[in-house]
Amino acid sequence: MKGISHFISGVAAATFVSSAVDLANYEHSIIITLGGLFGILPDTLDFKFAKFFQKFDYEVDPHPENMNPQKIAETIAKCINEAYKEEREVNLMLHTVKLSADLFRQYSLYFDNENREVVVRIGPVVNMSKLPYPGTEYEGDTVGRAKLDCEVLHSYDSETYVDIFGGPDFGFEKKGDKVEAHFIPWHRKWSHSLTLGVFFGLLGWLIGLIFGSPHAGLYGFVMGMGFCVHVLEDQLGFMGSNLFWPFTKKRANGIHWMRSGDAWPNFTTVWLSLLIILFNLNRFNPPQNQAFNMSWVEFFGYTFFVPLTIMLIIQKTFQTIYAKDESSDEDFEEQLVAEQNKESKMENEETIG
Amino acid sequence: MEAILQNISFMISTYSMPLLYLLVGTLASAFLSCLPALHIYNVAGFLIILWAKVNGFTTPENFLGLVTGLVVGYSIVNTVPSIFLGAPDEAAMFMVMPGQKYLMQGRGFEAAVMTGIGGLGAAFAMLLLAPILPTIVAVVRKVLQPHMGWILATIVVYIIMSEFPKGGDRGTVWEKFRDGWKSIVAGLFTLFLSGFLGFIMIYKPLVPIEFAFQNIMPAFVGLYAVPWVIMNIVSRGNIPKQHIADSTNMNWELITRGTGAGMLGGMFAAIFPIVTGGIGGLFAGHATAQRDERLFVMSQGVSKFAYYVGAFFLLFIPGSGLTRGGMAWMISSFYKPYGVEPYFRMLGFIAISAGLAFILLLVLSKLTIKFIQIYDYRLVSWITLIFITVIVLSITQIPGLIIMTVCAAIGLIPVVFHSRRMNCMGILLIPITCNMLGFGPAIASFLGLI
Repeated sequence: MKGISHFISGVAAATFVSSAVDLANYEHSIIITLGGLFGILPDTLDFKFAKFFQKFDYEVDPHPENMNPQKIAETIAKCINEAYKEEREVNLMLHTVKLSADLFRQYSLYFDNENREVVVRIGPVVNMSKLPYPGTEYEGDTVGRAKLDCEVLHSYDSETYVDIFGGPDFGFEKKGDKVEAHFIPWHRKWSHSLTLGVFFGLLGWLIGLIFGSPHAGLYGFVMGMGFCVHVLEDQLGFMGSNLFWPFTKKRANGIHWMRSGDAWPNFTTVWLSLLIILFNLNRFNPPQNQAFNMSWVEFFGYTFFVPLTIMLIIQKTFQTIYAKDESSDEDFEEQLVAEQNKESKMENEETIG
Repeated sequence: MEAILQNISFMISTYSMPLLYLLVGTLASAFLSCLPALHIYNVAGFLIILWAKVNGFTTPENFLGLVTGLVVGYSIVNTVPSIFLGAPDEAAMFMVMPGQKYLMQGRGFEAAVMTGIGGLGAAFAMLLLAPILPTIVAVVRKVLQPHMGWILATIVVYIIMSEFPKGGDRGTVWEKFRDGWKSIVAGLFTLFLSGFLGFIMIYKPLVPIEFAFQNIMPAFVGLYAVPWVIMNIVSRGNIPKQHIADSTNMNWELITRGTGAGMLGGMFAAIFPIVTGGIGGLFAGHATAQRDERLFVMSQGVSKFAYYVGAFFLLFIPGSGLTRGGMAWMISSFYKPYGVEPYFRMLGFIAISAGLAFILLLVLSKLTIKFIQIYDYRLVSWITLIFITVIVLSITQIPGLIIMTVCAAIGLIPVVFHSRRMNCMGILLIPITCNMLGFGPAIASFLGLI
C-alpha cells in the first residue's frame, strides 16, 4: 500500500482509543498523530535506511545507447545458476536507464519456467507515469534469452519492469530443487514485524515513564498499534512480511488481494480511514457536541458503501463504453486491412493478367 | 403567464447588475491573472479599500458579483503564467512540474486546457454536491473543529515522513546513503527554515501596518514564483515551438477520475485552515495512486478551483458561518449572507463565470504562446522578474522586497536539490500548528520574538 494509506490507517486506528481522543481534544496532545507516524515507519525504515545497506553480487547497468538484452539475460541467469549451484543467496541489482530528467528506457525480465530461460525485453521510452512514447521502440536487438539450470519460484510478478526512479533488485536463494526469487529482499525483512511493533510500543511507554507522563502506557499502545496496522495491511498484498522477526527469518507470503500501487485499494483505505476518524471523533464527543447520531451500520452504509457502489458502477460503465469503442475501432481497422488486401489482390491479379 | 413574466422581470431587475459585475470581474481577472505574481487577493484587497473609501461605489450584491468573477477567473486563468512563464502561486506549485514538462515538449497549450477542464469539472462537481454540501460541511466542522491542532500536526508529520530518497542506487553504502538523503535533508531544511521565517512574520511583521493584509504575499512570491523564474533565466534551454492541439487526448473516465481526486484534495484544502490547494492536491494524488500525467495535471486544476472558489463558497453555505481563504475573510467584513438565496445565487455565478473563464483561458493561452515565441524566453523571464519585483515593491515597499529576497533564497533550495517545493509551506504550517497546539508563544519567546 502507498504511504498515505498506511499513515491514515495508523491515525484511524488511534481514534478507536477513547482516552487518546480525549487527550488530543482536551490537552492538545499529538498522540493520534503518533499513530500515523508509526503507521508509516516500517516503510521509512526500509526505504530511508535498509535500502542503502544492501550489498549486491551483480549489478546490471545498461548503457542507454547500447542496450544489450542478451548480456542482461546472461547476467541474470548467472546469478540464478550461481545461487543454485553454490547454495547461497546471490543478490542482483537492475539499474534503470535514465535518458533525461523524466524519461527512461524501459526493459523487463521474465522467468520462463517452461523453457527454463530468463527472457529480457527492451521496451519503449516511458515517462514518469510509466506511459510509453509512441515510436520510441529500441532499434537494436530487443530480446535476450539465457538458459537456467533450474526453475525459478517467484511470489511477486513473473514479469518485472525496470523503468522509473531506482531499479528493482532481487535476492536469489536455493529452495529444494528450485531457486526462489525474492523481490527487493531488503524490504519487509525485519522492519515489518509485529514483534518490532510491540518493541516500539514498550519503548514509547518507557520514554513516557522517563518524562513522567501519566499516559505513558497509552502513548506506547498507540505507537505499537500504528506500526502493527501497517504490517497487517501489507499482508493483504503479494510480498508479505517477516511477521515475527527476529524469531522468524523469512517473509510470510501475502494473501494476494491487491498490489501496493493499485488505485482502488489505496483510495478505499484512505476513504474508509477518514470516515472512521470522523465517526470515532464524533462518538467520543460529549452528547451535546455530537454532530450526528447514527449507528455504525447506517453511517458506513451511507458514507462508504453507497458512494463506493456508485463509483464502481461508473467505472464499469466507462470500461464497457471504452471496450466497445476499442472493439469498434478494431473492427474498422480489420475492415480497412481487409479492403486494402482485397484491393492489392485485385491489383496483383490485374498485373498478372 | 403574467406571473411568469413578472418573475422573469423581477429576476432581470434583481440579477442583471450583479451579473454584469460578475462578467466584468471575470474579464478583469482573466487579464490580471496572466501577470505573474499578481495574486487576485491583492487586487481584491485594494478594491475593498477603494470601495470603503468612496463610500460604496456600488451595492454589496454587485460588489460580490465583481469579486466572485475575480476569484473564479483567477482560479482558472492563472494557469497561464504557471505553465508559460514559470511563475506559480502557492496552490499551483505541483502543477508546475508536469506543466513545464508539457511546455518543454511543445504541449503547453494542452496542459493549460487540461487544467481549465479541471476547473470546469470542479464547478460541475460543486453544482452536483450543492444539495448535500451544507450537511457535510456542518458535520465535518462540528466534529473536527476542536481537533484542528493535532490534525495540522498530522499534516506536517505526513509532509516530513512522505518524502522518500531520490537516487542512492550506486556506489558504496555511504555514497548511496549520502546521495539518497540529499533531497530529504534539503526538504527538511526548507521546511524548518520557512517555518522559522513564518514565526518571524507572525510575531514581528516586517510589512508596514497599513499593508498588513498583504503580509504573506511577498513571501509566497519569493518562495514559489521567483526561484522558478531565476531557473528559467540561468538555464540554457529554449522552449520548443508550441503546438496548438485540437484534442487533449482525455476521455470521460479520466475527466471523472481527475475531478473526483481533485475535489477530494481541493475541498480538504478549502475546509482546513492554512492547507493550500497544492497540499490538498498532493494528498489526493497519493490517495488515489495517480500515475497518469494527464490525470495529475487535470486534477491539479480541479484542486486549485475547489481550493480558491470552494473556500470562498463555504461562506455562503446556509448556517455554516465558515470563513476560509483570504477572499472570504475580506468579504465577511462587510457582507453576511443569510438563507439559501445567496447560496444558490453564488452557485449560478460560479457556473457562469467558470464557463467564461475557460473560453478566456483558451484565448489568452494562445496569445501568451505567441508572445513567448516572438521574444527570447530568457528575456521574457527577465521581464517577469522585473514585473514581480515592481509589484512587490509597490504593494509592500522595501520590507516586502526584503522578505521576497529571503524567501527566494529558501525557495531555491528545493529547486536546486530536487526536493519537494511543498516544504516551503512550512512558513504557515509550522507556526500556526505550533500556535494551535499551544506552544507557539513558548517557541516565539525562545527565539526572542516576544
